[in-house]
Amino acid sequence: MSADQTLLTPSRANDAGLEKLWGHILGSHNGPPWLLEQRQQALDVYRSTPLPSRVSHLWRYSDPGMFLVNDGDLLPVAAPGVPREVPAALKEELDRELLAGGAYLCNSVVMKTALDSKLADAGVVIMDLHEAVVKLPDLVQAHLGTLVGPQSGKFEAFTNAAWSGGILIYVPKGVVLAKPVHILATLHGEFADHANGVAAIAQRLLVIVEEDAELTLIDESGDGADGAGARVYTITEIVAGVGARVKYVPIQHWNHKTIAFTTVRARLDRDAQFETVMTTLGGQTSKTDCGAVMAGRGAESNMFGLAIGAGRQQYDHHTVQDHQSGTTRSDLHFKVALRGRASSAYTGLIRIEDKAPYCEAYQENRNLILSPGAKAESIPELEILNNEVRCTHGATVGKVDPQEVFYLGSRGIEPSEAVRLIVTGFVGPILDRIPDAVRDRVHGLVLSHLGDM
Amino acid sequence: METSITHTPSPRSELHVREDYQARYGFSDPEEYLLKAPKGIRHDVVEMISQLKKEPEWMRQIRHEALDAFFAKPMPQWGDTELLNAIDFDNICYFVKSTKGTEKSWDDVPDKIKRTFDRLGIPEAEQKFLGGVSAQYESEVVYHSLHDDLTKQGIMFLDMDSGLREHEDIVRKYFGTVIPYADNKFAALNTAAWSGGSFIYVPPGVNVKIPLQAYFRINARNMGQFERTLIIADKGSRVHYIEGCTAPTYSSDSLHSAVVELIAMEGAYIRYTTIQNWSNNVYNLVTKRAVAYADATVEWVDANLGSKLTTKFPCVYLVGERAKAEILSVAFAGDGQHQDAGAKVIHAAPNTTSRITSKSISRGGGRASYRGLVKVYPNATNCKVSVECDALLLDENSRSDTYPTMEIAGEDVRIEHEARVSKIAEEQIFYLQSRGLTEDQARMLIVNGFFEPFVKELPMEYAVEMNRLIELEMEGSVG
Repeated sequence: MSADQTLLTPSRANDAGLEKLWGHILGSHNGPPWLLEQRQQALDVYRSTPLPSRVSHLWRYSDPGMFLVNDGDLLPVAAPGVPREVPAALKEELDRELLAGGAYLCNSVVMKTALDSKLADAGVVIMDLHEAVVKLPDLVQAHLGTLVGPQSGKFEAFTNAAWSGGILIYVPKGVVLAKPVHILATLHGEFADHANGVAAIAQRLLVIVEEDAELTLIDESGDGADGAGARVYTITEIVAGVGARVKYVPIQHWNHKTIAFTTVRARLDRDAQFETVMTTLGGQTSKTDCGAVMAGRGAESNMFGLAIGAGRQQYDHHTVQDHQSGTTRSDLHFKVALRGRASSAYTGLIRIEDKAPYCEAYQENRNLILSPGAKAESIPELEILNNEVRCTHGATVGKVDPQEVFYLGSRGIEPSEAVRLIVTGFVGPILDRIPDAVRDRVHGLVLSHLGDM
Repeated sequence: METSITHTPSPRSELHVREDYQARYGFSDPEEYLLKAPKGIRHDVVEMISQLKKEPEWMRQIRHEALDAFFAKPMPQWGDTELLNAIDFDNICYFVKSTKGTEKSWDDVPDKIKRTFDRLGIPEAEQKFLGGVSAQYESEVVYHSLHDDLTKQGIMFLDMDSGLREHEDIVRKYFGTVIPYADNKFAALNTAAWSGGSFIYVPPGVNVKIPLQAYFRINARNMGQFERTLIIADKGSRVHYIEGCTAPTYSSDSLHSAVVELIAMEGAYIRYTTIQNWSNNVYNLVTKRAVAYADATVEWVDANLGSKLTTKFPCVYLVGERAKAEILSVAFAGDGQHQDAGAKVIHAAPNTTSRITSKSISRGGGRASYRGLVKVYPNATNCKVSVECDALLLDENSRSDTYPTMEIAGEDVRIEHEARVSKIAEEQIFYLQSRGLTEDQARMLIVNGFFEPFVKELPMEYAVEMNRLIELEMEGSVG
């Protein structure tokens, strides 16, 4: 308790560190006055908000102190030698015209954006967020920070204050993107070894999909060659209009030195459909909060996730299915496989408001433990304030069934290969939902992350 | 049909549930006491309790240490903090003595208290040859008996005060070993102010064939009841203990904060059944925990119908190989009630198994929560855990929460958790109505079916009582 007490307010040293960061942000990006004000307010909230209490489920398994911005932390947006070239995998997808558009960020700074010219003519926008606040101020101001604002939490407040780069994606009314958009964010530099602190990189993504429009978005973090280990704060806000269809595919494979704090919120208007296919493979510590708010009748959210942990990786995933409107539906399948001494905490909340009858909500969390040192926690939570509902959740923790390994052995398959097969089968139904453009590559990442069993 | 603790049932069609609670359990006797401590908890109150009971020095010291721990510990930061913070600890009377001591024969009990228990049906229970009956009125056990043949087998069933006097060595060896006072704020309060409760020791290999019973009642207003129960089942023995509780309906709140410690030695079996029917102004903040050694089985059968706020999470530590835990928890939350119930199982040894079944019904704006923890330590290989939660919401104002926590270290485990929240399906009602049942009867039948797995675990007379209580709670739930 006493340790927590001392951390309740950022110390002076932290504030000094923040001033340095803050000066850097102001010096680098002269945004419009409303944005500077928004940043200032968020910074005030960050400073005045105490560290989250470890009593709440959200922080039971992660030490919030790990995400505090410390004295000497720096914002390395202008690190020398940042590669400006688009990484090969993304370049190939663009060259083969597998994508409707794409963007490449390094250390949160947008290096390149690409968009099919026909779609650009139809009004679709993929733009550096700094550019967007100047060119499309009304659109950005109306939505930025409305789903994940300073009030969402201490570290969300920090990201709102200090974001140094980001992307706006806008799909106007009725426009359907047949191919996915692929955003790739990477890190460059050796920040983790910095004598005085690590890099604190804050970035954000704003996605606006208007009435009856359709978008598939692949949001990839890490390219497997990141030189850096940093603390990365990410906010993703997705606004889905009436009848919009959005598929959001975050793929996180930061290197094992990175600490990631990610918050994703989607707001679904009437009859909007939202699908998430989340893949978590990287990071030393990765804390993700991903949620959908069903704000209009007939809205539907389907979340699928897989996380594979190895070594001493620590995952903390939280999902929210927030039924604010009646006659809405949500489903969630989250699968975790752990080897080595990896640990995973999953907390998932289904909340059905008292004024939201005729809702259906489902939630399933399955954990596969592959070695004696691995650890899995699961807290599926239900808060139901209305009786006209159908709501179930299930959670399991188990190991690979020796009988299955034995059976495969009787068919001539080595035990290690058998386990790989079983684990691939376990996460297979989720991998299948990843868009064609990247599926084979993600499959390869999963296999290499599973390593030798 | 005549049951051990019910009265002749009144025609239920004329009843409303709260009115009926008044008639059946809500009576209160004028408060006449030999001794009543001043309100508030202080070291001198604790000293007085200890002096009155002529306790050994070690117990006196534990009480004072526990009181310091109570003062030092903050209120819980989780659960229904709004209701918890509303408790006025200074407005509660921590000790009331109503008779001079424990009576051996029912005839010796003062008439007034006898009338109270007559109305609760205690003598009938004895006539039905239930193992032993002990009834707690305010802070102290007033009546207690044990069949001779049980005594001959070496079974000890006493109130906790007598237990401490007559078997100090056993009490000293086990008291506070399962739930030390530093465990939580309310366990500290109980340890400081405890009075009454049951002490049971079953010698090795003895099978107590008939259930042992206790009954707890709060009569005075703003009363705190802090019973302390310690049950030790020695190697290979078997025992079933049943407790029930009621209180009169006062407008000001009472506090019931019990501590129950169970110790099941190698191969022993303990079943602990509770039917909690406190009136809706009682805070019921209870710590219940068991330790199960190798091959032992502990079963908690726990029904929560009454109280304003119940926080109760019966717990089993499985510390020996092949130990087994089974927790069956039923909650019924009506208007103004929050049943924050659940279960905890700690797997600390290999080949241990546990099963948790929770059933809750919320109606009339009530809130039922399941809060649970299953923890598997790395050395506890080949464990099996199953958790199942079912919740029924009977109207749109009510609320149901499920907060299960699973912390699993180690690969060799098989854990399953499932929860469902729903309302009574219209099709089911329609079907039953097509068979000639009224909507009311159809609902009752479905609710009874919902609780069936629980009720069938109860001895006959309790099952009947339980069904009656559910029926009463369901009164007027249609429309």
